[in-house]
Amino acid sequence: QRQKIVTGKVTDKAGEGLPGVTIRIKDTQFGTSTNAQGEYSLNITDLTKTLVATSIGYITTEVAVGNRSTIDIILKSNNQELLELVVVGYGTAKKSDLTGSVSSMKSEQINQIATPNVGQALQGRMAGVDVSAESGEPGSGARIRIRGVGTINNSDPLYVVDGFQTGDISFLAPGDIESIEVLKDASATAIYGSRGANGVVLISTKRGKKTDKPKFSFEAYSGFQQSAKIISMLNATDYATLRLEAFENDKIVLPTDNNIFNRLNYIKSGNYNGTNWQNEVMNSGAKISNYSVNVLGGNEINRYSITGTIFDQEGLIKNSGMKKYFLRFNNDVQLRQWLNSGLSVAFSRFDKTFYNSDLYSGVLTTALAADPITASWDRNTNNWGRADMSSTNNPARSVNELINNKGYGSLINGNVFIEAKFLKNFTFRSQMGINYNNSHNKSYSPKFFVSTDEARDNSSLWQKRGEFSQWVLSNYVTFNKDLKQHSFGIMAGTESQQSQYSDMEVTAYDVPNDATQFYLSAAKNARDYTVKSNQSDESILSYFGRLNYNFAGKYLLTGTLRRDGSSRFLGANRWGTFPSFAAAWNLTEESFLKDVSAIDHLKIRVGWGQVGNQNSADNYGYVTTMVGNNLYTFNGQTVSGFAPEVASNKELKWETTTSSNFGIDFSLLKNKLSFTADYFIKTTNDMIVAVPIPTYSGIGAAKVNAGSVENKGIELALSYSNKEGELKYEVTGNLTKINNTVTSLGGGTAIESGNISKVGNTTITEVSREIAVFYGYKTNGIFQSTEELKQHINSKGEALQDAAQVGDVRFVDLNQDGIIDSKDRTYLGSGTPDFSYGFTTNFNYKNFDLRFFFQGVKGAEIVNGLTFTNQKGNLGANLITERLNRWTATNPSTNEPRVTEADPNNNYRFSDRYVQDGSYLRFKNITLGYSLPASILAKIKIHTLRLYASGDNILTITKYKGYDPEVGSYYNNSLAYGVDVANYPTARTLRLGLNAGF
Amino acid sequence: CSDFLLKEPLGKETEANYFNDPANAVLAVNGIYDVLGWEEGPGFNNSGVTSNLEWMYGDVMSDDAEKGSTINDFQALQELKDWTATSVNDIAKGLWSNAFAGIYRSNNVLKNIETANISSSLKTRLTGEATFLRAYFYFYLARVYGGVPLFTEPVKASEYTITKRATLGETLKFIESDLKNAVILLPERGDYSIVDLGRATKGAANAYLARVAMYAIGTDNSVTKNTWQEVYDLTRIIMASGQYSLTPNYAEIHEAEGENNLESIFEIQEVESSNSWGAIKTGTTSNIFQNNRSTWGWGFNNPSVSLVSEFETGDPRRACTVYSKDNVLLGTKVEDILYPSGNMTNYLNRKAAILKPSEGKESGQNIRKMRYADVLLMNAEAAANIGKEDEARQILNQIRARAKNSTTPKGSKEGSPTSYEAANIPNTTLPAITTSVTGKALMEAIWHERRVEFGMEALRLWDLIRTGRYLNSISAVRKSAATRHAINSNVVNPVPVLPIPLNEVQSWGLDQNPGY
Repeated sequence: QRQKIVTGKVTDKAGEGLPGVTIRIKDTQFGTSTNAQGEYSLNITDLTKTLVATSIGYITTEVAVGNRSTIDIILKSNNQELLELVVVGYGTAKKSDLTGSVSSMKSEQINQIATPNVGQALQGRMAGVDVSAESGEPGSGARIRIRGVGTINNSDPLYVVDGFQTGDISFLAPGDIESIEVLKDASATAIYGSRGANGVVLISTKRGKKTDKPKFSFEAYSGFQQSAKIISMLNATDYATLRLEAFENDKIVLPTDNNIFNRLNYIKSGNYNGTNWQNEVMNSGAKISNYSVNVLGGNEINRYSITGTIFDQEGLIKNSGMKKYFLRFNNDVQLRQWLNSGLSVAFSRFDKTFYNSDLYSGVLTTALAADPITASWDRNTNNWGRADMSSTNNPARSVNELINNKGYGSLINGNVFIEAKFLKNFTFRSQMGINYNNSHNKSYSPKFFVSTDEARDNSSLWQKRGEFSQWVLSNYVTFNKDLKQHSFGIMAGTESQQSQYSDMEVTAYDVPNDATQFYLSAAKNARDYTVKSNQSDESILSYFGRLNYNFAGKYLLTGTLRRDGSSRFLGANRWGTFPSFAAAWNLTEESFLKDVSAIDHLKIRVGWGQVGNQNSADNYGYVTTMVGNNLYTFNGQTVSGFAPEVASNKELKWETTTSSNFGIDFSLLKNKLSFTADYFIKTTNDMIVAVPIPTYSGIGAAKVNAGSVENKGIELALSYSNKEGELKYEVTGNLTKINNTVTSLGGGTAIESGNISKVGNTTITEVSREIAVFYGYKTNGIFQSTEELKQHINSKGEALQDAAQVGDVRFVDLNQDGIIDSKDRTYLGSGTPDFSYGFTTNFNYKNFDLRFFFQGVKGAEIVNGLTFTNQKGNLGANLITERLNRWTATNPSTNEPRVTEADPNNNYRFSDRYVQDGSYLRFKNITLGYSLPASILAKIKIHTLRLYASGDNILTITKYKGYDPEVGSYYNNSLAYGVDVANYPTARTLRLGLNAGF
Repeated sequence: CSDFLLKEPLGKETEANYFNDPANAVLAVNGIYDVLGWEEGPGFNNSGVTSNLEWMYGDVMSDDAEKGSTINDFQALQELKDWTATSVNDIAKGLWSNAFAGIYRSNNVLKNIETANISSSLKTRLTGEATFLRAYFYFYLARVYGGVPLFTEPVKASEYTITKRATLGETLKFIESDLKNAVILLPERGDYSIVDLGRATKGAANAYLARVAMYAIGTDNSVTKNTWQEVYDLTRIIMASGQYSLTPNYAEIHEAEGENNLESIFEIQEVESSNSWGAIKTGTTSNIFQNNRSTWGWGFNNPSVSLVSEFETGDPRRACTVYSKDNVLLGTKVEDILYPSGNMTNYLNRKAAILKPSEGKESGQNIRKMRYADVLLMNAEAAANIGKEDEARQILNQIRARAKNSTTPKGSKEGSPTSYEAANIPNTTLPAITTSVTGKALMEAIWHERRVEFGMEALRLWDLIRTGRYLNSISAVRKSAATRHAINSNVVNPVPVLPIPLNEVQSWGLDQNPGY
């Protein structure tokens, strides 16, 4: 065989030389790469038939050698959307080859909102992906629901970060992320088997790239936050007026020497504003800032990326801030032509204070309930004021205590893989990942005395330390083979994973009130300690495979199968099998559409699959355990007692979700307009339900597989981009409509939940309705006159509400049985929206860029859980200013009931008066940026520099009267979604930032 | 491979193997006793549990006490007193939840103890304790709600939808049968070793049997068909057992030195600690509830003027039952009790007055449930009813003589917190009941004696109900409300009852009580 030399130049379409392109003799490891001008020279033999040119960002191109000695190659950029590689489970796929329903998001969008929480950054961006913040508290989570709520249990998606499966991604900073893919339908998620039922969020972090020299970038922003809303409450004089009116209405005659009575009269006769408790507990200008540095670079052999981030946020509520630090190192090494490996290590740490949201002792709940007459600090006693008129704790004192309610966490995530190509068409990949999470909570409760019923006799220090570790080991082989127009892909693998948790908590008493003494060693009470621990260990073992077939890029078929075994189940129920099939047809590859120039791309997708949700089961739910610490005393000595507290079910098995998907993707007008629509039906069977049981059973309910839920929905995503002169613009929007229906509760009775103290249950979950619909009485205004009261009778002429007086609420006898009782309750809406949407517009003009981002939901209702407190004025609580318009003899034409504390008519039983329209349209973000021109940058030796001003949550259009219509779930109970008990409000944030590249 | 998926619960024994370890049977029974002391929780199935203590019913709902504290504070308790409580009343919900947790624990022990590898004598005793406690919880429920669902085993899921309430009579029969078993199984107080002081005894089971029978006689006796002769015989058994006697000094009974003394038949054992909530709590909130609002209490359960005037002039028990401003309490003068802003009658409960514990909500004062004096007065009432009036008068006079010999309450002299001073009352005080007192007058004398002997001990409400005097002892508005909520069928006297918690009615189809 003869040797010869070929030379040539590799260019892009514009003729620009491309450096660093690998030129390889096909099917060998011999090759070279181009120089800075894009030129190469390579020794070949006369047997060499084909050269392969590869470069990141370009389509790999093969050229026939023939008898040429100069071979110039033109590489086509692959940044056209359809050729983009999309991460799918255990591999990647060209977007054009996808058969399932997958949405993507790029790093730029992820970083638009000021949040350290990746989940919150997803809000409003993708069709079918519903995100709401759990609360506005710094460090709080996001509730992500992919294609609706599939179960009343754990509906959180699975996260897969660079191939590592986890339920917790708090080790990730938004700035670490290159792209996010969300797998929505079962044909895409079934490869994750027992953990794919709620959708899968695949996250790729920024990895090193081949560069001439290391790229250094710096990003920073800093700004202020304020509460987007303050609730208008009565001032002291109005409060006194209404309280005295209530006593009068209730015919309560207080003795003339009554302290409360005299103070109320004194305040009523003057003009006093009193204390604005919301001001007392809120920060007026809470700071927020974020700094992030990234170094990225590499060569053929070794590529790296290092990112460090510092985030610091003060809370809107005093003493409720968070600091968080992130560090990430990614490294990829090409060990041999056929062998490469990679490593990712991330560390993060947070330091935050925990907010108290309890209905009685919480900060905002008491700030809204506390009477405005009481001073926050009583100068006479030189002590906190005692809000005795409203029987509440002093909110200013409560907020002051938050500072000692601390949480610290350290999270480590490490991941290493090795990938080998062998026997031409095979690739073997082995990946091992570890998650380690160390949490430390510490809360000090000082001794104090305000009054006999607002006092703590004994100081205490509670500390809890927990350790969570998880590892996942995956091994899989991929085989790819093209035979003319047929191409095949087969992947098969196994996976094992284990999670272990253990914690320890100790409460010690009589600890000095001094930050340097907040340690267990400082406890002066040597006798009393409370010690507890929790621990668990679980594992999953899996086998999985996938088959892809593609004919001429026209017809695409995918089938997957996964078999999972979980330690959460026993015996025959331990193993589950989860199959899926999908097909797609690229119509634009057909001859009859190839010449239709208006249509650039048109694809139809159909898929079906089954996935499981093991996270709905508890770890040892199949066995009843004995719980200790049930103490009693004999002969003055405390003895231990044990009792089972929660019942068990040996038969517990997987929740299974079956889903079908029909989708269409098309692009028009030279890809300026692209459109994706999906219709899906998703049914969860064997839903695990802790079916509420009668209280008389005396024990916590066991979990059973008793229910099924169906979600049907439509998702639309549309994007249009164009360029007119120097103006480039892009509009993208998405809309999701989901109908959620409980189709079975396994014969069990309806589940009532969402209990608000004094009000009772607010939601019901029953067959043929949505999960957790609000359920209560229907009202019809108030009795404005004696005549109206007299007319409110049943067919026998008896009063329907015999305790009612003029000015009280009129309840409707819905079932017309002549009495108003619990059977007259009805459906009053739900927290789940009819549809949700988001849209973004980006403009670029010369060096300026302007972005708007809107997001909203329509057709959601909210239960304003503070109605009982702030409209009834329970126990003397302060009232919202709307109550000034209450019914009185001189103000009969109103819908506000008379003021009464005795409330013989029970005006504030749970009714439609609690339920408000929770639809909203939120101007989520505006950003105006300016990038310095190259001429200036050259002088200051900076590659890129962009300055911007940004505002988050600028405006929210809603009818909801609470703090914020994005309310999450009361006590994180999925059956209390949409029940708002003064949720920590969302901040309006204004900030300035810069992005610089060197 | 399958080993990889095999996991056992960590750090917890399972119910299935729990009773294999002989030591565990005792711990499981301790777990039932724990529920006796639950006042606030824990509560299951998301049902929050608010404070519920027996005086909230026994005293506050009767003519012996007003709610107390400020007008606004703890409206749920005022609702009980006014009979305006609804099915979401927290106090009534709390008792339901706690008592059934106790019943579940009893049933769980009774079901599993059969197979436990322990000595037969221990097994007999533990079975007796669990049976006694089940009866205790059921009797509490029966008095507050009337008839309730009856279970002899842990409730099975299949029973949820088909369970109905038994009638009051059936419930009392169930309790009676449990207590009769407990009498057989339990040892006498003297047969326990000292470390077990506070456990249920044969004497306690007999005493409760008498109390249940007496309650049935005045309410729903349609199933139990109890007789006064039975009450008489039961009380005689206790009197003859030699296990109990009256405390010589009445003033000492509710003080620390009176705990578990020879007069004590059953008390809830409390000890101070710092854990003020849930199952790990070992003390009681009862004292902070009833203590003076101007010192370290919340000022609830104020003795009524009617109770105070029931005491005969000079009766030393008055000062041991109530106190007011300027009295000397445990060596310290009471400067103020915040009447009327934080007190409704100008009196507070002396029997709940103790020195401030380190944690107010964790007081260590035992709650007296059954005293020997009660056994004697039950015996007197039974004797009077079966024509043994002499015996009745003799016992009455025994009680009155003991009262007459009482000192002043502990620490009545400023600066002497622990001393008892002579009461120095005229000899004419508390004269003996003479043979001229007979028939109706004798019965009135016995009832009078019960009221003053057991003032503020949470017995009054049920004494009034079972003797048919309740409705006339309360205001007209309350009477009309209580009448609406009274059980009227098969009863000797109307038995007003509180609402069954909403959830049990709405979701599980239990019948609600009248008028709710």
